Amino acid sequence: MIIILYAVLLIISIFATVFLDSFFCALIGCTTTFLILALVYREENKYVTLPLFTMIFIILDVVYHYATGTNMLIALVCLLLLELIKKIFSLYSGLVLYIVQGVIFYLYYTLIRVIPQLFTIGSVGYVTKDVLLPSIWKTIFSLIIVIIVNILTAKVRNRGNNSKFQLK
Amino acid sequence: MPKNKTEIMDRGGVVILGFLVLSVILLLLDSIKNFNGVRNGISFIFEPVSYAASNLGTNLKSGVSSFSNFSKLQKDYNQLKIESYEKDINNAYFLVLQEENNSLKTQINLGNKEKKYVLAKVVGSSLNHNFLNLNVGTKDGVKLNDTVSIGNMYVGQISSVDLNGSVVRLMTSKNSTLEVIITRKGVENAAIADPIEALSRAVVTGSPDGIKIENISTTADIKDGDIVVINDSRIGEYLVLGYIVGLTNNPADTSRSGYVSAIIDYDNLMTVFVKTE
Repeated sequence: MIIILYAVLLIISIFATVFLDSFFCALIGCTTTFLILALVYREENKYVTLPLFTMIFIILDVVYHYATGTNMLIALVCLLLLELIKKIFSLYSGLVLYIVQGVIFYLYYTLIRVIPQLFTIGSVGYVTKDVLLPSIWKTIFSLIIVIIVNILTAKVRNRGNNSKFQLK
Repeated sequence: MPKNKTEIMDRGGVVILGFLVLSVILLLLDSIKNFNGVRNGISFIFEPVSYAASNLGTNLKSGVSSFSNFSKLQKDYNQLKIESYEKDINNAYFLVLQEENNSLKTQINLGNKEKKYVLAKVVGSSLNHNFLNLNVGTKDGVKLNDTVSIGNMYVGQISSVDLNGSVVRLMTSKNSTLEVIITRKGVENAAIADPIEALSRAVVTGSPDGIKIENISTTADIKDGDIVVINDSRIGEYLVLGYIVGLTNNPADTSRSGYVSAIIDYDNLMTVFVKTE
């Protein structure tokens, strides 16, 4: 029963992610799947998150007519970079982490504009101000979402802790 | 079980690396077109979802941009309205010029070239449409009872004149009475041949129902559609009035009557000619 429920949730989440990605791509020109991955990914759930997002990235490759594996490659490179920086500098919260995340998001949004055509027509796209400047506001948008989600999750966690007896 | 934090991180990094290698393998397999079947299946299921989402996003974006550009849109709208009015004005002016041109052509082609005419504009009409106001008066040489025409088509007679304007009494007016002849031949497209073959004489008068024609000879072979030409000493020339319609056919009558359908549409007249000599 639980397995069926998980399967249904999985299917719904795949459809929802594809829908949201296409929706925000058309609305503000910003893909949201990497943002969701960055929000959701944790060490504890990597064996669930990574396969799920692998499927989603493959679906997005088909929908956006990229070579299969493009989205996955770029997203995982950026995610790996983020995890390495977090590990090397022991960043788990705070302003510095947001700055690092901002840099990684900027890298992702720039790469997703220029890399896909490397695998379809064999050459990297032009890196001009038309690519670099929009990536800035997409990064800002993503960071705002990350900060809001972090604040909300922190509040939910703290509310849960209010009923606990704490020794000071 | 992982013993410390470093071990957990290393494992995490290895897992991500593993999936990275998988992505490279997928790219290589895709380059040799091994994924077409899978891609077709995914496309069949997910492209409609993506398409619907894109449509929604695009519609929302255009709605939001319209809202955010509202003041610009309003300015553009006002500007376009002004341009549209200007075009309407230019168009109306062009139509007036075109009508004047057509009237002049008609006058040149069909009018009496020996007489002198004054070009006049119709500036208004009476409520019952039996009179027209013209923009020419005594300063232009217009006098009482001058004939108003277009080419050789009768319009009316000047019934009132002052310095800058005058009034034309149309044939539909109660006070209008003229002698006419009815013909079938001799008038092609309102051009009158000379001599004209008269089938009968008659009298036309204005009435609330239209232009009435009376005293038509019962022996004459007159039919609906025959042409009515003014032949009155007060006018002094042949001018086409219109066509006979509604001809009576009562053998007991001593004369026949009917109505005349005017050749000119008085309601849409803009340019006319007043014969001053």
